[in-house]
Amino acid sequence: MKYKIKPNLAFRKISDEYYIVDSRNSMLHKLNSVGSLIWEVLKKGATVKEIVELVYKEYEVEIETLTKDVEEFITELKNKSLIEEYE
Amino acid sequence: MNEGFKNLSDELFWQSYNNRVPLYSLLEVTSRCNFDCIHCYIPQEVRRKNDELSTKEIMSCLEEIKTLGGLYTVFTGGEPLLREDIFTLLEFAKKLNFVVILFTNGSLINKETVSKIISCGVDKVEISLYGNKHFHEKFVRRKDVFSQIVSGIKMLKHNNIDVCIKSVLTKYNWNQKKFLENFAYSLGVRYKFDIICTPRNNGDIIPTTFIVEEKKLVKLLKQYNLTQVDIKKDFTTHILCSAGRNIVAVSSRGEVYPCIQFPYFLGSIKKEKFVKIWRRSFSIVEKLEETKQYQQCLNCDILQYCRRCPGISFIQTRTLYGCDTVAKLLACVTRKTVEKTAV
Ligand code: SF4
Repeated sequence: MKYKIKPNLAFRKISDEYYIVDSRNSMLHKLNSVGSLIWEVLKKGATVKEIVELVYKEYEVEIETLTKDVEEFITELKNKSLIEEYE
Repeated sequence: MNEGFKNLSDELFWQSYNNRVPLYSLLEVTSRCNFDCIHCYIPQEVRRKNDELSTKEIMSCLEEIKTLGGLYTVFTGGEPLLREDIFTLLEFAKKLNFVVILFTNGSLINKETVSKIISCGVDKVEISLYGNKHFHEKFVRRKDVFSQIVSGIKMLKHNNIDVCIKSVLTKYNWNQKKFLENFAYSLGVRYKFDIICTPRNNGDIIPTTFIVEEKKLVKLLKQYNLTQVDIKKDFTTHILCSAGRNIVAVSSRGEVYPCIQFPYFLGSIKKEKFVKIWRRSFSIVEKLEETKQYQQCLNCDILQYCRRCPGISFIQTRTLYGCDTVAKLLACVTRKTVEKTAV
């Protein structure tokens, strides 16, 4: 299963962190640096596995914990309707 | 992950302000207009010229603003819907992940334009309305346009587009305030108004004489509790705004300004890259922040009540440090109101 950013969202990276504007509900979100790294990959679309590999390269944390954290983050983005599944 | 609005939006504002990111850009994509509003800041002689930026030039400018961190962009005019490529441009801005806001007089909104606005993904449409049919048409100096505008607002609302009605309230349409508030409410859209009439960009001060009479201003200041004067400790943020720091405007002819109401020429995107102009123009911010230059304000006895606009002051005095007489008028009224309230 791949995930990508929902169309029509506005976002920009300012000082290494992404700010996301969701005009549908006038919400503003901010991602920390790890979240911003993941958001970068989600622009093109990626699986959880691909995301984990990418973050692992940068941060070298225990893979199990990392997978769990990435899954939680993806669920959060999905619940907030900021990303969608495809393929 | 942080979320919300007020705190984060303040944070975003200050991040962009301190790092000089052009977070808010305003593109005047045309100076042509099918209306002839009495208060318009664009002088007639400019309005008639058709020397506007090309599709490609606007697209490149948007790309550059994006690389600098620009997030919100407003398409304004003139009347932006008069441009044949307007939907190509709006769609392009959305593809660059901007928050896209369209300012329009609403007269060209029909079924076809509404469906294009939806498919482009425009985030918000702001439509100017100055009163009921009689007042509006007198204000914009065009006949039989009111019903078209209203049907446009209804169509946009019906299609879940975030639409808002806005007015400048002057002594000529002041009595329309209640009508406009109720009308917006009946259509289920937001209403906002401004009372500042700015001079035209060529220095013509006639529009500033349209400002509502003192008695009405006092009523308004009280109604909105604007008599609570916020005396800022920091002189620079009190007497300045964020124009040129996190705000930028590009005129229909490609001139870059700190704000659309601050026509201090920073460069032309017809001759140079936007990024180059933006980086070079930090000097204007430094000049504006030279506190000691504001002798007139520093010695002014109504400074604490004044919401000076550097742009209006520049149009009026052609200097960076002069007095904004529109703000002065409001400051005088505010002081009187405060003093009376205190008694
Ligand atoms: S009234 Fe004029 S001189 Fe006085 S503070 Fe305002 S802008 Fe400055």
